Amino acid sequence: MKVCRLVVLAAMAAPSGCDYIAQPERLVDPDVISIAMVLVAGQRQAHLLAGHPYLHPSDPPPEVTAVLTGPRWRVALTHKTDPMDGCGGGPTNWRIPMVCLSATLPDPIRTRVTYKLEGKGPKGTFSGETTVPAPPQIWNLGDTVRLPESTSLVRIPIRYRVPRTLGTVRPEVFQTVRKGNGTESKWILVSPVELKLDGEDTIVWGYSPDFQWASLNLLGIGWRYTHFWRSHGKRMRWPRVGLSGEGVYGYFDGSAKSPRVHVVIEDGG
Amino acid sequence: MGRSFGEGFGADAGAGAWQGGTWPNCHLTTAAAATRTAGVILLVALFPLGLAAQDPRRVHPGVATLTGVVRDSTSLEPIAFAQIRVSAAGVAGRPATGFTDRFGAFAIPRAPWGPVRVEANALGYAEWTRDYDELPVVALQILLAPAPIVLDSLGARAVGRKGDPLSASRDAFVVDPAMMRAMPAVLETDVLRVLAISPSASAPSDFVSVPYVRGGAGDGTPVMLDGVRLFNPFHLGGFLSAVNAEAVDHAALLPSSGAGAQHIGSLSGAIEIATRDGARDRHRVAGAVGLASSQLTVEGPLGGSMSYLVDGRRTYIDILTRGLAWAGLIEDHFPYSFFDLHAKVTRDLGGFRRLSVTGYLNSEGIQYEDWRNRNRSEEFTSKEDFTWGNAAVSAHYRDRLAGGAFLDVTVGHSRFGNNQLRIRERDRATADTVLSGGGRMTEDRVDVRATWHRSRGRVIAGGQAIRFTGDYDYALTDLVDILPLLVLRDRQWRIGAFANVDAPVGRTWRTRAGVRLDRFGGVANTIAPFAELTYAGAWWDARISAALSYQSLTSLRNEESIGASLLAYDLLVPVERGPVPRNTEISAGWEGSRGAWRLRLDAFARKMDNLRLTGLPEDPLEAMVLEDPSLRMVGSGAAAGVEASWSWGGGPLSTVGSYRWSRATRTVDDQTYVPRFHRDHELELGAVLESVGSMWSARGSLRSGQPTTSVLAVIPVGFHDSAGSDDIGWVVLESDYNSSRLPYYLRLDLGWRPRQRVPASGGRFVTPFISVTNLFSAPNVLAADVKIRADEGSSPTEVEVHYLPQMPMLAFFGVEFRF
Repeated sequence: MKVCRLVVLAAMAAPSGCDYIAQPERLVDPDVISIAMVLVAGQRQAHLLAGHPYLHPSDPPPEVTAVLTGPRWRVALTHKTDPMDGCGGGPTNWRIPMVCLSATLPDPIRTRVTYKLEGKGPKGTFSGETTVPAPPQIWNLGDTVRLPESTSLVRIPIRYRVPRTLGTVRPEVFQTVRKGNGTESKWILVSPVELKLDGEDTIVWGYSPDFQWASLNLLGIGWRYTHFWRSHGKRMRWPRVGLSGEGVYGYFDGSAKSPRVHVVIEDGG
Repeated sequence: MGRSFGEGFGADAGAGAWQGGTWPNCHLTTAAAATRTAGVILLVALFPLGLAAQDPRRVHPGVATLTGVVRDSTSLEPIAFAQIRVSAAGVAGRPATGFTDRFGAFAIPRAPWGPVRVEANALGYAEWTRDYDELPVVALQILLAPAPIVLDSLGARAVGRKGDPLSASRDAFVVDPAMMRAMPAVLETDVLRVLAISPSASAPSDFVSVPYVRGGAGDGTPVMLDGVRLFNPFHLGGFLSAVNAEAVDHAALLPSSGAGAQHIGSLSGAIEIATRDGARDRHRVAGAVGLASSQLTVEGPLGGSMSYLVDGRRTYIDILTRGLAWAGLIEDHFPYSFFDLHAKVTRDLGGFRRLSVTGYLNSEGIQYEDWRNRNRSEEFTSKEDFTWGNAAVSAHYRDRLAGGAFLDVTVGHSRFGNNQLRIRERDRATADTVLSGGGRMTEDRVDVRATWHRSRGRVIAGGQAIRFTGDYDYALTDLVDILPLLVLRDRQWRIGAFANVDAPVGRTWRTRAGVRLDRFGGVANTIAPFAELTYAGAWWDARISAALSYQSLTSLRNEESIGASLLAYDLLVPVERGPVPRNTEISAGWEGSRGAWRLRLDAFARKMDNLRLTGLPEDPLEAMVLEDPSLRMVGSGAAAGVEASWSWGGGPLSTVGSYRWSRATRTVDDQTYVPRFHRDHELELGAVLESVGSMWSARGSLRSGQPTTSVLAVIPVGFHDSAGSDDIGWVVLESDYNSSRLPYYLRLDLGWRPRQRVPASGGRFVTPFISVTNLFSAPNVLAADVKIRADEGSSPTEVEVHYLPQMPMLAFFGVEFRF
């Protein structure tokens, strides 16, 4: 009798299997799109990068329409450009099917002005709004910086003012060097990539014996982008960043650049 | 039907009763003000009861107070929760009734004068009846003979039996060893796991046995053993409670901080565990051999008026795994061990006077020595010992004062400590042993309480002095996943006084009200009143109540950490400055009993202010369980809900169950969220089917999912500056914190206990037990995690939510014996 009871108990336990762990749930929704749009003060071009974050690069890019509204104007972003040209290349380390929509604006983007974005994606409409921040201001360098000739690094201590609407400040250096009988100019990478927000830092880049001159400016970007950037590789609460719409995630922000400072080498240094 | 719980006696003229009312929220700033206010309240409360020593018979001609002690006729152990009824012989009318307290004592103030019949009933005992020509003026010593019924039952066939968790106390959910054994064992018979059947209690996970009460965290619900607080009374990270069920007389979950838990002075009620005295007739041995450990209990008389009870348990996980590793069946053994030891000596000093001393010790440890570095280079060896455990000792003395008051004095000391020792070969040039981390928390306490039974009601007044010390030094610990890197030493005195009055108002109403005053040394002085109003019907009663309570101890635990669902251990510290955490609660309840059914309904709302909480973690999976207290902020909490619990016993089948719906929130740093341990709905069912010689039991749980933060999308992020930086990554976009729910929880456990009498052994029993938890392997989940997989240069085509599992289907077995 007791053996029978044990058998019953075992039979009841038999359906156990090893599948007590809940099956994973896939989050990949092929209709979800990501949107990245940052207006740059002073520019008459606006670019919007839209992509399918979960699809293969060979899949078709998302079908997206978008309209940007500024002071007394409304412009559809209808021109499809190469993401490498208009949208900075997109996420090159994460290849996705993407489209770069652009438009020429009636007026340049202005600081402290609010712009609206409306559009439609695969899952419905979306909208967003951003106020372009004021640019950072360099205090201590004047129009021109004269550096002693260096053999290794160019170091420029810099002091600057950062409006509270800016979350990211990046130095941008456009350098011209001798090349053969002529010169070559290009944007170069400098350190640090992001400056401290307390208004004091030192910009460093590698000195080239062929250095001719350079121009330096600071790029300030708003907090929405900054939240995203700082959450890169981590988790982030979505409702903080403002862009809303079914199946649309991303950022719509503004940026502004400080006036340029010329960097030259002192004669006979 | 309802009764008070704790040190006081329940007594009323007729059916049960209850109390209610509200008090203003008070918070004094000086001890003098607190003392003055307390004095006024006590005077107002005690005056109508005629506290001065006087013969109650003069106050109410025709009635008097009957007192006594009820004991087991064989073992002479006191019987708690026995019902005593006194009725006038030959006169129709409702008898005066009362119930024994945890020491078996009773007092029935409104017993009729003249010829009377006295009856006593208790679970598992034959009814006792005596007729007297006149009401006895001396204390009765009632000996109840064990009845030939199966003890391993939940049945509610007798009034007042402890086996029915609802009938023993209106203030509490009470379980006794019979019920603990009746529920399917999870590894072993467990005191704390059974308490989670109460609708007020919720276990944060399958791996943690300590229940959380009405939206409060564990630090607000102290576990008391014979009047002294036990810190971290569990093993295996919280999987097992560290109190031997065989030694327990009963365990009570007090969900409210007013009324029955006034003497505790906590935020979220309390768990009170009372141990048995030990048999006084002969020496007895009981024990159990299980999968993970074995335990043994020895008890017996010490002379004519003393008894002892000693019980211990030791695991053999380390020995077992070492053997398996030696045999090559597993790669490394698990060098973990624990033991616990409990002893109690009781001396009856005549009448109600008694003295008992309880000692408790438990220890756990992990020795990393030969599995961590076994396969590493020979020139570098190390040994690490991480040990922790607690100890407690308490002494309780009861006496009867002039005027009939009962005096209870408890003195206790409790401590929890841990040490991490590390020996490394490379350290030996300078030191053989490095103490890389250690800490302890201790509590010393004195409780004095007096209980007066008067014809107009009952008065309890008491005082309390508690010294808590937290002394932690983990600055050098390398257990950084568990312990915060901190050095902290703090000590605080708590001096408290409390009083409450329980008095009838007319024939059907009853009130209970009281106040507790506390001085938290150097931090705050507080006043915590409570009030209740009860209406007693023929077979039901209803009550409303309001209470305020304070405590100064706060936890280092971050309850939002996923690890908090796996590790129950806690370290406490007193708040450095006021305001101290405060609980404000109101509740309404109804309880009825018809036939074999008993139903209890409660609604409650509470607000917890001045909590110390950490900010929301970015990733609960990565967050530490214990955190530096300097990282915490003052926050608040709230909870409200409806609870139902019921019991039924008919024939061989008996059941107990509960359902709760509630909401709970925490607010810190301007963010309000649902705490991770909370579930909106919980349904618990337990059933026992007795057949000849064996018992089947089942326990089912159906619960809504715990809060989680869901992932909305994973998207790329990057902004290409003029230099063409292309450091692109992805961002996991989440919903609002804990705004989603994990899948619902469903579990069924099954147990079987055939009771075997050992042939020709003279009443010796061997009881094998088999239990299966999560019988159908329901895929219950503990937490969710997002996994992103992507080949370089391609989209993350695999973005999945993976679930961390709760307990799988497991089978446990063992043998209990009783000689």
